[in-house]
Amino acid sequence: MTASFILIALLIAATPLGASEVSNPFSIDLGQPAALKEAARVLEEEVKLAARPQTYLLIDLVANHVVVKNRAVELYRIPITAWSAEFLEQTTGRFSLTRRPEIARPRINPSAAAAQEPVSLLDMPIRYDLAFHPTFTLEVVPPSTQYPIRWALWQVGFWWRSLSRAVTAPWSKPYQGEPRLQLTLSENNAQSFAWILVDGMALVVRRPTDK
Amino acid sequence: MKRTALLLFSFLVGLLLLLLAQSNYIPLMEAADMSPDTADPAELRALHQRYRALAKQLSQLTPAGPYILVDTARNHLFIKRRDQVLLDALASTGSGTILDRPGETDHQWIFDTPRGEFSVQSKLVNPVWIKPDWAFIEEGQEVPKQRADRIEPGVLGEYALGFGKGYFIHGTLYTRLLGKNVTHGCIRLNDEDLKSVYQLARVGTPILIF
Repeated sequence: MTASFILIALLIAATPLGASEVSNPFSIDLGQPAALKEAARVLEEEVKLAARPQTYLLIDLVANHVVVKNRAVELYRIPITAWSAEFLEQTTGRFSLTRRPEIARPRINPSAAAAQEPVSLLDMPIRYDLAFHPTFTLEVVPPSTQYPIRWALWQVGFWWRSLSRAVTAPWSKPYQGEPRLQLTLSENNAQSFAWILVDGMALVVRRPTDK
Repeated sequence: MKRTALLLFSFLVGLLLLLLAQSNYIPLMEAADMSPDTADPAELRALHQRYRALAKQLSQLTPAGPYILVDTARNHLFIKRRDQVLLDALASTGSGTILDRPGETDHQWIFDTPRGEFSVQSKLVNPVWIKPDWAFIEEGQEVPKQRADRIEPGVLGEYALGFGKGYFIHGTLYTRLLGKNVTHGCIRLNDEDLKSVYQLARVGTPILIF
């Protein structure tokens, strides 16, 4: 009897926490082959990224968030308000950030009496473009409700590019456009995201499969 | 005339819709189910197995023991084991400011806390601060030639945990500045949290900074 209790206790202790989370990290419907394929593709990339000492990004367009990770540990999660994309089918593989957004760093003046104000989250931009290698552009824009006119202009620009590519498509098939993703993030989240970025940071995109 | 204009307008709208349909544009979060997602059971089983194997492989890459997590934007230090938070401490991290070395146009210090993955390399009790050049320059003082003139005891707290290139997790006299980006790259904690970190972390404990 005692031995059974000990055995059961040992089995419970040996069961890793969140076992279902481990076996189905994206909580997908396991009956959907396309979703399974995409999730497996992302996991395969993640395994390569997490094997090295680096912080990387996972843009999850199914769950609508950006996850900052290192060694498969989730460091921070940023919710995506909305997104739109061009040539999303080409966003397979890993991308590397060529340059993080510029920061206006204050310069310390040793002769000044007062201490120099530090850089803070509020100094980070809310609208920026990020270029990755291989070619991939990520646009971060604030929500339409905060900046309706600017937002409308960005949307027009986005649509115009899509339209012009579509117009040229019949004459230049097969058309291989540059993938472009526009993320709408709240002001706070856009600033947090800009803060987190470092040059060379790796990125993986999980795409919806029900399009 | 009106009819021609209407026809022309309809034609243009139709053309626009046709071109947009041809393009690869995916509108804002509109992803309608367009095709039935079917597969034979054997293929589905193979997909399951691959997905589960990869998920397991990924989970095995996470640190097995406790690890230190530092959020430099919100100035918090956490000690976690898997998803369990063992400590949540208010910290101070790098100010992000720049200091120029006098007389050298191409040499400057950027006071950022380094980001990425590190590990605890040393654990010190009653550490003394050996002031680097920038500490004197920042205060408008001459950089001393003697090492003894750089030693400043009692400013780093009771413990310090080194994580490479002169960066430490240490204590502070300026506890009112905890929660702010004010340091030269080191990570400051109050005495109590510093003691907990010292007790929980070992040499080799991973430090993930973002």
